Amino acid sequence: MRFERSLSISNLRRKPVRTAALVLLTAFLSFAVFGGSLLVCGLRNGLSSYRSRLGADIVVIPNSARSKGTLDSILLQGIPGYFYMDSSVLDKVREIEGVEAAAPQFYLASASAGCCSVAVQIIGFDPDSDFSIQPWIRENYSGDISDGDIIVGSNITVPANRILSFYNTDCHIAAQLASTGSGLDNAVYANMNTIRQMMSNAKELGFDYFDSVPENKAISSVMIKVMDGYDIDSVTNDINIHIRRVEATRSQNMISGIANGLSKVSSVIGVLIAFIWILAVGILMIAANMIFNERVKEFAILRVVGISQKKLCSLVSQESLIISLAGAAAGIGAAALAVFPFGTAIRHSLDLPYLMPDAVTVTVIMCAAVLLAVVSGQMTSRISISKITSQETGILLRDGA
Amino acid sequence: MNRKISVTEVILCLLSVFFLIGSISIFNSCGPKEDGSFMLCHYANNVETGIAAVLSAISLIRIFLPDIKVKAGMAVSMIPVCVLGILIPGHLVPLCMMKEMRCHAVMAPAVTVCLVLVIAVSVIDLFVISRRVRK
Amino acid sequence: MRVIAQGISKDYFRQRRDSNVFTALFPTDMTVSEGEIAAVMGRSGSGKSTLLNILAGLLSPTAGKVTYDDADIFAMSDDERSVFRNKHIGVIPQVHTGLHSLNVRQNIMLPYDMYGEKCPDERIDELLEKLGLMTLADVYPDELSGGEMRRLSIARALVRRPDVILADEPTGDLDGDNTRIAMELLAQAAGNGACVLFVTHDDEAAAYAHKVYRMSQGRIE
Repeated sequence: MRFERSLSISNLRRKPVRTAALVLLTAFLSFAVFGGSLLVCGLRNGLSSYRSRLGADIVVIPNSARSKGTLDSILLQGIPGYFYMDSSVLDKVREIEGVEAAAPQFYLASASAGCCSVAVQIIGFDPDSDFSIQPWIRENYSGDISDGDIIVGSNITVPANRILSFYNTDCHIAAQLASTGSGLDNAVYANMNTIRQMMSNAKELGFDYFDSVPENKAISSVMIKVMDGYDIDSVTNDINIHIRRVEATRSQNMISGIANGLSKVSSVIGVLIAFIWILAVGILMIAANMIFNERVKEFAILRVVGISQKKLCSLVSQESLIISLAGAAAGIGAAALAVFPFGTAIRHSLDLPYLMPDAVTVTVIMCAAVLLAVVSGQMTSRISISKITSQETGILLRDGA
Repeated sequence: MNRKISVTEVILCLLSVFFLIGSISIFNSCGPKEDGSFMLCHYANNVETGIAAVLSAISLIRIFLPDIKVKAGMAVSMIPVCVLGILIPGHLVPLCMMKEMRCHAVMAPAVTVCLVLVIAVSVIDLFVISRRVRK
Repeated sequence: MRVIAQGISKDYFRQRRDSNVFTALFPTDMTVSEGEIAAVMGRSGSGKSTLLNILAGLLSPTAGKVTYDDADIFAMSDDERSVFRNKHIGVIPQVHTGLHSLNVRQNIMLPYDMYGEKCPDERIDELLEKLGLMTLADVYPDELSGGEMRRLSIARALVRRPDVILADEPTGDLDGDNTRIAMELLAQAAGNGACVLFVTHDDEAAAYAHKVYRMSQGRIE
């Protein structure tokens, strides 16, 4: 075994161009498999996290919301927006049959925050009735959310003094939430009193967002949980029929658009991985065939000196193993350098929820990519091995002459 | 004395120059605010450009130096400069508030990737030099 | 060790107009004893290399058997035959044989390294010295001439002091001086009890043989 290993290393080192070409090809394969799978997993992870964070069966927003940026773009892409309706909608919704719980939310876009020229989405909730935001906050923060406290999404940098100011309202950052991979990470969350204070300060500063709705009676959306045994679609229709100037949407419908986008991206990546794998294995096989013809004499010499077929096959297979491992390391390293640091940029360009898989999943994908590279390498080395075992040394000597 | 130019030192030079060009173009910081003033990330970017210029100068000069030990010393000196460069965005100099912004999403990761590659190639170059010295 | 070939023949299957079978070697008997040097001469394509490869266990005969003392080399498994060849047979092939990834010294040490044994330095130095390869010890085969490569093959075949030496045109690329050196090394091995069989076109080399076989169209005349 030691002899085979040292000879295979010498063989690879003495033919640097051939070795580099094979390593590069395997690296390309591993890059595609590891990078592509990470991307698909990140998207699936993002969707499931987004689904679990939305937490409501039905979302009610004012009709006017369509012209001022949809809820979708606020929640998914994190584009700040605002729209308001009278809080009387909440009471009307609660009267609809089949509604188990209804919780208002308030959306406010900050003019600018701290150092930066970008606006931040501020989402307010009513701690007494909320069922969608608080369970999520509880995962990271168990204390009370007092007036003037805010909870920030994972994409917001927490300043050293833990104070952010919105419309002249200084807010203390009580906690930072775990990442969801969606626009929810770009928002700031506060209770009703805090957001009412901000709204009133905004109005004093001359910002008139509230569409003639008195700011102390304004709400942006209502999150609804439907009672067991009631059809969500029927409840949605009832709301749309009985309550004027609002639009009720099944949250599942909001997600189905994302799921469609995700499945398209996933299948494109899947086809791409399969194509690259077939291409790489094909090229490796052709290369193995050509290299065998070049190395016939070398194999014959080893047989003449007394190497057994078994040892010779192990030599070829070890060379292939070294190439596969080196290629896999290079490919996985390159993919890791592209996918991990640029996760945010990728999410931005795909416009889909994207949440990096956990360490265990990443390790599993990495092992699978290494395994695929090794299996592909061993498959191609079978070409040389089958030729070695099917021909007598006397013939190999003659062919190599 | 050894005047042979190795592949690693050429790669090191190309990487440093790429980092320099990238830091003022494809992975620069966020643009100015509406009032024309710059955000903090702009200053982090300026420091990165300075570091990139220093790395480019060191890597370019060492190609033309004949003494292999001086080459090795310069390769070693590049490593702490790179570590400093990695620590600047977000650690030593704060970036913008939103992690979705260009400085977080593009500039900081690109700086990290470029400088990690420069460190890796420097280490390989040192290994190549030590083998040459042993020979 | 005595090499006995009993009725060995070799047929190749080739697509031809008259017959699909080409007989490279007709049934042949041959014995080479300890300390004996035998030469096989004949025109190209007369079956000399086929005979030598069969004797070395590198090519299986269509019929017949080859025994080394009492051991039938083709009754052994591939593993056993390989180890046997490594320990007891030194083969000098007709083609230039140097592994490109090993330098001259490492190429000569190959029979020892292959099975994890330590090659005595004095043995290598002795062969490098005698075959004029000392200055080329660290050179890789790509930089060697045909004659130097041939001498490398000879050194590698002799390094283990094998019981049997089978050489296919060992002096093929050698000049007069080197032919003499190579043949003296083979004669010295025979003097130490090895049996030597070599294929040659060279009368000067054949003069070292105790027995000369002449082959024509697959038959010993």
